[in-house]
Amino acid sequence: MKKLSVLALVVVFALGFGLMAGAQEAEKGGTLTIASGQNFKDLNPMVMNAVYDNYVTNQVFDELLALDPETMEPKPYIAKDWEYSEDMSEIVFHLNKGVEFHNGEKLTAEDVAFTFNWIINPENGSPNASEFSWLREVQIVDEYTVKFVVKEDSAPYAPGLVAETFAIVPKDTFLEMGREEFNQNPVGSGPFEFVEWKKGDHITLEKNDDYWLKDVNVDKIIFRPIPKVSTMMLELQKGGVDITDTMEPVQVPKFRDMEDVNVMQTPGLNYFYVAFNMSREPYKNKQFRKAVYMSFSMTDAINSIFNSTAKTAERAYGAIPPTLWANDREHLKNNVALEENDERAAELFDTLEKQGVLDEDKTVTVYSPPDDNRKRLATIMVTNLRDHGLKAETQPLEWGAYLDLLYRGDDDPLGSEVDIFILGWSGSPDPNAFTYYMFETRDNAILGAANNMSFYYDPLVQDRTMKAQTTMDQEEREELYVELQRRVMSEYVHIPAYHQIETRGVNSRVRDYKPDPLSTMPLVNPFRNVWIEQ
Amino acid sequence: MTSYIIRRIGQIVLVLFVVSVLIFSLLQLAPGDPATVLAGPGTSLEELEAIRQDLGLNKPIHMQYLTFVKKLFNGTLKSYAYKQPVISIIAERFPASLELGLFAVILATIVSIPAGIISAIWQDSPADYTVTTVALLGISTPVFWTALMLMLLLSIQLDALPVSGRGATLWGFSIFTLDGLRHIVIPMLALSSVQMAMNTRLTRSSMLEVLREDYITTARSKGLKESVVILGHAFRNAVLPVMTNVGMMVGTIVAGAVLTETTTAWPGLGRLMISSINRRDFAVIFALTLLMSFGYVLSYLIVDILYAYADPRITYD
Repeated sequence: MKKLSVLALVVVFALGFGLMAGAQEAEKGGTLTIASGQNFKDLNPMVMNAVYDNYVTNQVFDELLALDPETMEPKPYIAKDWEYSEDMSEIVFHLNKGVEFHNGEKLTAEDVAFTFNWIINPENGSPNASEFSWLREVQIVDEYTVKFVVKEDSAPYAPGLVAETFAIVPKDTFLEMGREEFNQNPVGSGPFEFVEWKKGDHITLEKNDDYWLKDVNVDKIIFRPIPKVSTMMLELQKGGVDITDTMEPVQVPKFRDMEDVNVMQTPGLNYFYVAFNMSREPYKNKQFRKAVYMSFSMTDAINSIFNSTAKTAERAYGAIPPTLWANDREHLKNNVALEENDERAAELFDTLEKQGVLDEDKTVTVYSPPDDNRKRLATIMVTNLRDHGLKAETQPLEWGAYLDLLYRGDDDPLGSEVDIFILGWSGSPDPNAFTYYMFETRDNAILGAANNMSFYYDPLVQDRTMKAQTTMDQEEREELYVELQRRVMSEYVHIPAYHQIETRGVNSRVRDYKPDPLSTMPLVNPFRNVWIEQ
Repeated sequence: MTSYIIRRIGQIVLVLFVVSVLIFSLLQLAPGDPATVLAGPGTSLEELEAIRQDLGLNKPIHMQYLTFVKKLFNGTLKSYAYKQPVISIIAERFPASLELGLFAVILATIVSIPAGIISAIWQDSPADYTVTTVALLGISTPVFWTALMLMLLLSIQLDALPVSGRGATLWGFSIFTLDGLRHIVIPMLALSSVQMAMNTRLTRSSMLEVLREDYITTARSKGLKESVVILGHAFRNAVLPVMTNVGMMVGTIVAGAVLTETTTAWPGLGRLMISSINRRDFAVIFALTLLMSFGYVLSYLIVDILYAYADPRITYD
């Protein structure tokens, strides 16, 4: 009995020490070097619309709300709480007192109202204005209270959008410095202060000693744009950078075996798809779309493109990512998605040809943007279409020309010139972000402007989208999204391709870091405070 | 000579004018609207129009051209993407391209000319075979691959140099700091490899041609020392095509080295050009193309002037 007690004591002590070792105390100091695949362009959050610029602004500025990385729900940040008016046309945010910008100015309701009103003012030409189509204006209630006057159909998802990336800018400093100067020397209230920007080489930030939220652990952050991923991987291997914003799928298994590097992954809030231009024949014909779907195996294509051992992407079956509610993944996978079926595809192509829907001399073009993954997918599709006797070709275009083609096409406002195209979408953590833009008609099937580039119109989908935007009851919204997504996917407007998994190479000395589903770079916020093991 | 130089400067102005019109026209013809690229997907037609108005893209084309040229010369032409004067963006990157290009050309020249001469005077010897094989490899190997291999060898295996980037600078240049010097080695070796190989082959073939001339036999029969024959008679006559090639290499300094800079994350003009093309930043593309053209025509002018010094038979008056 005594022996057992001693043993139990030893185990308890061992466990205690183990736990202590596991819950290591954060160390102060050090420099964190972060590699980005792209050059930085805008450091003013009011005009910044690229995710890699957000890596920097995320550290220099604070947002009104923060997204909980586990639940993806908006949580307090600069705003300590918020409430809706009865008619859902207003959201009132109460701000934390004692928040200061790096130059000592207080952050007040005036700065919050100025930031959002500046973005939505068309005279300022902010590329982010379209993100705020739901916002009428922001009013100041008192020094620490603001009122967002919103369109009635946006209340359910507005806080999520506010929390996403839109940070608060100091009104007086911005007006004093002017737009261009502020973009070069941003002043925020975030955990790090801007120091210097050597274009194309690096951006340096230093710890904000007076950060209002918590004592920041890391002394300095250096952001380095490294355009070639192979070079970035060598830097990671050598320890020249601590975090890489991307990884080469083929190199992931090698890095998994390395002691000094952790491969960190988190499912991303994104959706990549093959789409048909439904304003033209034969793409408006559902049987043709089904035949294309069955002419190849999307699952095999995704496995081969993303190297099944690296798992940097997973097969998509619907537009709403699996990490979001209302994704309905299992139903779509088992009941809607089509497997490769060469015989059935051949039959359908034959029938369509006999019916005159499919012209045998017509070349089917699969357009893709310049990234390797989507170019490979286009090649796989075209190879299979050719095996079925169709004239098919790939047309990879660099982004400028691609967007031009998708947005301009010809003079017909109800259709563009593309046949089949491959695109991607990433959005805020609400199913609305993955349905409204791509499948709604009234605001989005507009040539040259919005994102329903399939020119898909379905009264049921239109109705459910609008209803889901005007109800606050999440269960009811979920039902609506499930219904509308099942409808869209069973019409085969898109062939869902993949959801990219956010994959980051992280030096093992970096602690309390986790990739973010929104592809941003949160290092210090209400949920984390990254530190470096010295 | 003075009147020749003045005439050539006049020609340069004309060439630059033609290039500017050509580039501007090509930019208009190229697919891709800068406003769409800047704004990204999902932007409303009104917002796109506001951006076009802001950039002056809705004015008639000839007005846009005149505005571009005027603003470029008075220093107020602004980048669409960075919203900063193009001159200051280029000035910030120029030292990086200049030092990388210049050092690569110097290295390529001091290695390639002796290698080409040795290869020619000992034709068909093991030394010749070695030089020609290495030169052939240098020409055939893509620069980005050479750069990656150098990184693997010098940075990862030997742990002697940093992988990429520019390191610390002083007065805008890396070469004035030890950290900067360590950073420039790999891009410089990668960039010079192709130029070195090309110039070696050119020097060799040019020397071989001259060494068969009668006056070389005469010089030797007069009992002149072999070094005098090779350097004083043969090389002096073989140097003209080599000079032309070195001149072209100098031209590429201004053009920047797109592949080397991209692979080694060197923040020079080549990378700026690529990112500007991707962003449809017409203002930066326009200014950079003119600068590159100027670099080429200027280097050709210098080479032409040097011809007169290298070969007394050439006069320009």
